[in-house]
Amino acid sequence: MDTLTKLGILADAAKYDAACTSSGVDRAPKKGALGNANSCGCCHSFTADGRCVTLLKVLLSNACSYDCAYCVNRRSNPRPRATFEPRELASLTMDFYKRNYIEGLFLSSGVLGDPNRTAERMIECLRILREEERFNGYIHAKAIPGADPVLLDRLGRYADRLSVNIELPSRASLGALCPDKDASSILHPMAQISRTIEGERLLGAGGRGNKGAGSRFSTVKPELPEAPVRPLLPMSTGAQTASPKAGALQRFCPAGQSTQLIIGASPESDNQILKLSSSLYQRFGLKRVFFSAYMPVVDDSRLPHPETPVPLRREHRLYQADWLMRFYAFTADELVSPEAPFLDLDVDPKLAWALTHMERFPVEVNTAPQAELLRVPGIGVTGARKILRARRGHRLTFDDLDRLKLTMRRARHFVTCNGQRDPRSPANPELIRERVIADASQSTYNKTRRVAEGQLSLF
Amino acid sequence: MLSRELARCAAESTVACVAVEPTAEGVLTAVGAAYLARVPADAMRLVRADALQPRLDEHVVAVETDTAFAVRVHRGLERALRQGCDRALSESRCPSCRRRCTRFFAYLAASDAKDVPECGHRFLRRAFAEHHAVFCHNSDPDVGRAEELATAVSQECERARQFVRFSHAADGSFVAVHRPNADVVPLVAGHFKRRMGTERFALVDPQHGRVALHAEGRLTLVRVPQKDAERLADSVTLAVDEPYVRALWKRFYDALELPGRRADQRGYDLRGSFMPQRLWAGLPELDPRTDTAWSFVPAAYRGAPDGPLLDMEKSTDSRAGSGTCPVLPASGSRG
Repeated sequence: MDTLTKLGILADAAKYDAACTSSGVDRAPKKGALGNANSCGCCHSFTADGRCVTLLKVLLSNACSYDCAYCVNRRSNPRPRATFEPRELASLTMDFYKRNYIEGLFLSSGVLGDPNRTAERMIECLRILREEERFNGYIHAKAIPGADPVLLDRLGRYADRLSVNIELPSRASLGALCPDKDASSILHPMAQISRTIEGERLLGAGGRGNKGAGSRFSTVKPELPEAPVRPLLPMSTGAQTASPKAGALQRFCPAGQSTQLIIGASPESDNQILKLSSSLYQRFGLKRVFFSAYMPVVDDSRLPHPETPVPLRREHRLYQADWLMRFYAFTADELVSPEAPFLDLDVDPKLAWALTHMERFPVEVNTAPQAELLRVPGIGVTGARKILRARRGHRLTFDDLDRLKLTMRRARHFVTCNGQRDPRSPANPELIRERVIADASQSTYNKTRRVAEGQLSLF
Repeated sequence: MLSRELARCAAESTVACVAVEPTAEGVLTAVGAAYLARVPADAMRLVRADALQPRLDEHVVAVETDTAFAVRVHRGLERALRQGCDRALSESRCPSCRRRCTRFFAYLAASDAKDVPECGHRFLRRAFAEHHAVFCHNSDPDVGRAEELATAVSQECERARQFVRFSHAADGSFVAVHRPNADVVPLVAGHFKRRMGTERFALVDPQHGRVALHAEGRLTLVRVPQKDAERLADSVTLAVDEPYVRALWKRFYDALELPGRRADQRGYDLRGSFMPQRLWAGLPELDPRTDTAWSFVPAAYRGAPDGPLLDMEKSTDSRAGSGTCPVLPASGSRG
């Protein structure tokens, strides 16, 4: 099978993984190597459905031996199967990178036989990229649940970011839909990744002037695994997976780890999902939790009806809530309570919170601390910084706020300037609530999605 | 000479309409000369030399860009902006923000907007007078307009980093043609130098007559007449593998789209918002001809004979391969 055909199959197979970033690590160019990494990432293209294309996101193989109910690649689903050769995929990555199509590689795989064999193939591909091709760009690799911890460590020495996809937000759902996985095969690798990252951080990795444990800047030289604890399974070519060479990327996962949750395939509420996310951020130090709206790609009685609309608004609201938890210091229970456990689909979570806490408003823009400004709908992190900067020079008026290009259509109801409300905003909180909700509900986005989503959602 | 002209205009109470090259160096030359002549801001108005329209009460003064002088003025700007900056650690370096304040002016000057010279003039005057505090006056019309132009150029730089597409040329180098809305090639050439390692490349902007050349570790920026830049852009001979690699890229791109999320199904067009249509012409993934333009398949992509997708004998999972996978060769075949 030629690469063009394989690429079509394996890119299509990988597209349901929502992770899309190339951010989180700064890496300067190296002499004789190709590429670098920038912590802000870079989107090189956008698909027709609006998703950003920043990495070559493919499966190494979609010939999966597992049978997870929601997955298009499950072994009982008849579809074309393909597998990349490690060197073939490395060449593809280099060719795309040189043309500025991508920032790097996102490599996942179906379980090709068993987890260790799959991990070994992935490691071989990354080894060729890093050591033979001297690729210095971004690599995001998926850990294969059930793979040996030594292989996971080896994978993390070549990759910038690792992910272990939780997919389903509870043990009950995991048990019902993924007969080949259990919670420990997902949580143990996450814990290992977290421990290793934390251990390296304590040894000074990533600090100013310190390139990481094992580098010449480090004051402590930890022992990196030189030889496997037990013999690795030989690859089908007979080659053994080599230990990382000195000079290869040795810092473990400098961009941290992430995970993914599928929304709408199982009955958990938004409150449960957000609490799980919050717990993952705190417990494992995740960089991101990605949400992927369930798309009915297989017909299965354990899953929503195939005609069920894709819950795009719910996915969007969860991302907004996740952002609020990470950058605006909201907690999961503030955004959605156990008593009303689903986010409002018509109104974004921050606005919904503000409408139920009108006693906290209005906020005086000339004196409020940043934390209070961030709670105002229409004022984000950039807007708050602009206000703080501008008010150092003089007391701000509503005209100044307009010139700062804040979202005043929304923010004007919740702020005062020099003690005065915006004359265009009603004085009565109830009228404010009605007007704001009416504006939000009548947006093109909400009207379109209400028609598309109808009333068929099961969860 | 320029300073004397400006001083004479000021003495005669005439407003000087100063025609400058629309570059950072041109604006800095004019403003530096005005300071030497002690000419107040209101006594002069900077305009683009290629769009000169003096008012009735103005006297036209032409400025020849003096790069060495402009560099001196720029150093003065750096010193001025460092004063009052919370993050400036010393006189000689600003490590934490990488001189974002002075890059602000470089972005502003790269804009194609007609009012760039006068906007730059007013910003420089405010920066020399107020130092770093000028950035606190972002609601002021002058500073606000400068910020608007600089932000637009910064966004155009990001689009260049995103959407420049290199092609493998027959001589082994990589060539890209990009048509941005601002003169951003000098601002992004360093990014591509850091990215491309030892590869030789050329980045051509026919619209602004700019070419960035990288070879043997050296980056050179060249100004060429627009006609020559267009001719250069059209004369690239592609390497034999290029059409196939483009086809691979388009195949990958087409495979990524998720159904049920088009613009009409969402209620808004994300791709249109993030990827301006004026740049689509340079993107092979959006050119329908890409799929069929190749005839040669590079050796790395010809594919081995189909091997086992699952190794039945070595697998420890008895369920492996029990589904409806295609026929698997016998064990021992190369996978």
